[in-house]
Amino acid sequence: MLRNSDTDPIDPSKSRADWMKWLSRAPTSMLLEALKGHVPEEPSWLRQPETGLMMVKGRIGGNGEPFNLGEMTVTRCAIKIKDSQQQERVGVAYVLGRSKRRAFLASLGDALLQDTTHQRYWLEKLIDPIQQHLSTLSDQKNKKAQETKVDFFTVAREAGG
Amino acid sequence: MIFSRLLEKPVVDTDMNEPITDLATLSPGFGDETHSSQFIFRTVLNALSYPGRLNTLHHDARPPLGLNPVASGVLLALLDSETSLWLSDSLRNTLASTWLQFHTDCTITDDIKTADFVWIKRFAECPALDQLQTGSDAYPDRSAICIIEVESLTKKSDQGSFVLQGPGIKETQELDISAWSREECEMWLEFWNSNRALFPCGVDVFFSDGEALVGLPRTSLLSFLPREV
Repeated sequence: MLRNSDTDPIDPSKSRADWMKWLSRAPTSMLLEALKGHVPEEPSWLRQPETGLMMVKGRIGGNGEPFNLGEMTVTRCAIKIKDSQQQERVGVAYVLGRSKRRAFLASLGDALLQDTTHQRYWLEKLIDPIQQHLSTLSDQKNKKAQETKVDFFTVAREAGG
Repeated sequence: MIFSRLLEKPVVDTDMNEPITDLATLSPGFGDETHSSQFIFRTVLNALSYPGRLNTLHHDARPPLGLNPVASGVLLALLDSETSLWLSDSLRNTLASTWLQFHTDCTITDDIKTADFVWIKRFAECPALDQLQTGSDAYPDRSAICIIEVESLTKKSDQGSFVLQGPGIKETQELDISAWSREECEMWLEFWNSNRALFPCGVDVFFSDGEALVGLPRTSLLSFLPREV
């Protein structure tokens, strides 16, 4: 199944998959800032952070045969914490690159967000800024790309503009 | 390619209001994966090099409650995404399969003939060894490793003891499996002799009582010495 998650509607309260997506893309500094005071010194791991390779599959035009595009470095981990109701929650993160710290912080965020009593708090404190930051980045990128757009006036356009 | 298999597995959690009981019930694997699995590998190697000797095995993994820690540890160290495991009936409804699959990415199979590893909780559930993967003359190494849990390996058996001979044993080596009845001992002897007859093919067996690991490679000759009354 292929889908372009960049163009999906943005609604972090939708599901766990959505906040995991934002967490896995967030820069370490933002995660650290938001989670300050909640980072356990000796985390209880279900799976310690480990780095491996993941095959990225591609498909041309969205309907061609899938092919192996190449391998990417991915770091993953699973952390166990007790939530405010003393219930065990497992946070999972898969992030691109080799940063174990980033995977750790993202999984911690996932675990904290599963605590239903504090979910709103964490969505506002953790996910909203990340979302804002990342959409600003992509806006800037789009804007820059727009600025360098070349119009070929000599070529007749079908739908003006 | 290590993670690719995980993605093919069905997604368990879809509703964020439902507690994720699935992962929360699992316990961690090795604390120090590299050294723990190397230590276990060494112990397994020793067990096969000196058949019938008791090798105590402690490790820092936390297998689900009720599972034999030695057998779980050995499988946790040896299994990977290219190997398959067959579980005997009384292990099938435990957390053994979920735990090992989560930590090693192994495949759990129902077909004992293709399994690379076979884990048997009680001797009563042990099939004849020729039903397992025994390898071929060209590739005798493509055979199954069978782990059988037993009550105790340290207590002397009332029935008598097995006597081992062969490579890795200077003269003879005794092995007591205390909870086995006389019939079970004789049945095992029969299983083992037909396994020996397949040499160089055949399976290698480990016994474990939860404290110690004993190896019984296909090279060992086995006889039974009834206890004198």
